[in-house]
Amino acid sequence: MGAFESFADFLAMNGYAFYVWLSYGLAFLLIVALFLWSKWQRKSIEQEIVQQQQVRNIRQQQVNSEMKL
Amino acid sequence: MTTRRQKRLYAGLSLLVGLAVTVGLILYALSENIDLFYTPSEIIHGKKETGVKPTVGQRLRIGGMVVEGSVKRDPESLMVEFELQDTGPKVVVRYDGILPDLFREGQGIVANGYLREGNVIEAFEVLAKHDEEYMPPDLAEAMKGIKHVKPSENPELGYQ
Amino acid sequence: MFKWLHPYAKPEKAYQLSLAFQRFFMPLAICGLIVGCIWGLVFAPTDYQQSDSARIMYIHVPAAIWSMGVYMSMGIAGFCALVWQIKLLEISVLAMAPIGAAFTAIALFTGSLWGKPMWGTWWVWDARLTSELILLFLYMGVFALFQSFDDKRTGAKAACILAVIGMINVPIIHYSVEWWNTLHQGASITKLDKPSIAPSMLWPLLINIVSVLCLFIAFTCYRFATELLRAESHRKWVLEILGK
Repeated sequence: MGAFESFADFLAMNGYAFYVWLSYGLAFLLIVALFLWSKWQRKSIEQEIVQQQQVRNIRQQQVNSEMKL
Repeated sequence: MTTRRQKRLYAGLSLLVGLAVTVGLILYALSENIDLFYTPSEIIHGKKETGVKPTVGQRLRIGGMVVEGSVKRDPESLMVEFELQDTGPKVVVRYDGILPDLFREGQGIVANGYLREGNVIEAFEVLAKHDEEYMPPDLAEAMKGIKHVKPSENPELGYQ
Repeated sequence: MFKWLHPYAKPEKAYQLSLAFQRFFMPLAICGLIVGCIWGLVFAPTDYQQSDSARIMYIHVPAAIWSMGVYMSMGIAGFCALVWQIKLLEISVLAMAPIGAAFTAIALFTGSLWGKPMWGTWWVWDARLTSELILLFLYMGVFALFQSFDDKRTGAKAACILAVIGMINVPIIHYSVEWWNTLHQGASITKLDKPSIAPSMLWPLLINIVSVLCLFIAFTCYRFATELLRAESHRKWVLEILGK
C-alpha cells in the first residue's frame, strides 16, 4: 500500500501516529466547523429576512383592510 | 445593557490590550533570540560586534552542530554529554532529559541552559533544528550518504 | 478601463457571481484536497530525516502559505474599500477574516504537533512562530472590530484600517527565518531557487496548496454572499431572490 508495507504500518506512521493523525483530524474538524458556521449564519439571516417580510406583509394587509372599512 | 459608548470603550480597550500583548511578545521573542543567543565561538571569544562574553552562571541559548563522535551517554540515567561547534572552538553541553528525534551527530541543535566553569553548558532544554530539505531516504543515502536513525533506536547513544 | 467591471459592482450581480464562483470552486477544492491528502499520506515517500512525521507538511505548508495569502487579499481589499469607499469590498473583508483565522490556527497547531517530535518542543518564542501567532490575533481583531460598533459602516472602516496596518506583519512572517535566528527552518518552496524538496513529495504538496486556494475562494464567495444579504436585507432584489 503506497509507501507502507501494510495497513497497520500506515496507521502507525512509523511511531508518529499521534502527531500525524491528530493534525489531519483537527485541520479537518476546523474546516468543517467553519463550513457549518457559515451555513448556519446564512440560514439565520435568510430566516430573519423572510420573517421581516412577513411582518411587513401582515401590516400591509391590516392597513388595507382598515382602509376598506 | 451595553450602551454604544460602553461598546466602543470595550473595543478600544481590547484593541489596546491586544496591541500591548503583541508588542510584548515581539520584544520577548527578540530578546530571547538576540541577547541570549551565543554560538560556541562567541562563548569563548565574545560576541562579534560587541565582544561581550557570557559570565559563569548566566542563562543563555546556544546554537551549533553536534560534533561527530562526541556524544557520551550515561548508561544508568538520561544524562547525556556532547560537544558543540560552529566554525571554531568547541564547548561541552550536558543535558539530563529526552532528546528530540532529530538529535544525532552532525545535527544542528539549539540548547537553553546555564554557563558553568570551563565552558560547560548545563542545558535544561535541547531542541533540534533541521534544514529545509525534504527527500526520500534512498535518495538521501545516494546523494549525501546519510542514514538517519532515531536516537531511541541508535545503539551508539546507549539507549536500550 | 474598468468599465466592464461596473455591472458586477451592483450588489445583485455580485451576489449571483459569488454564488456561481462558490459552486465552481467548492467541488474543485474538495476533490483536490482528497487527492492531495491521500497522495501525501499514502503514496509520497517518507522523509530521510523526519520519517513519517514529515507528512504533516501536506497540510501545514498550504495552511501557512494561505494564512498569509488570505491576509494580503484581505488587506488589499480593505485598502481599496477605504480609498474608493466601496461597500462591497468592506463586506469581502468581513467574509475573509474568519477563513484566514482558521487557516492560521491550522498552521499553528499542525506546526506544534510537528515540532514536538522533531524539534523537541511544542512551542518556542522564535520570530516565525511569534509573528504567525500575531497574525491570528490580527484576524481576530479585524473580525471583532466589525462587530463592536453599532454603526456598521464605522465598524467596517475601523476593521479595514486594522487589516491594512496588519499587512506589515506578512513580510515579517515570510522573512523572519532569514532576518532572525529562528528554530524554524528556511523556506523550501517559496524561494527563487529550485525547491529543496524531492519531486515525489512536491507534487502532493502543490496539489494541496492549489486546493486550499480553491477552498479559500469558495468559502469567501459563500460568506460574501451571506454578508451581502445581511447588509442589503431591506432591498427589493434580496426579497425577490428569497422568493417570498
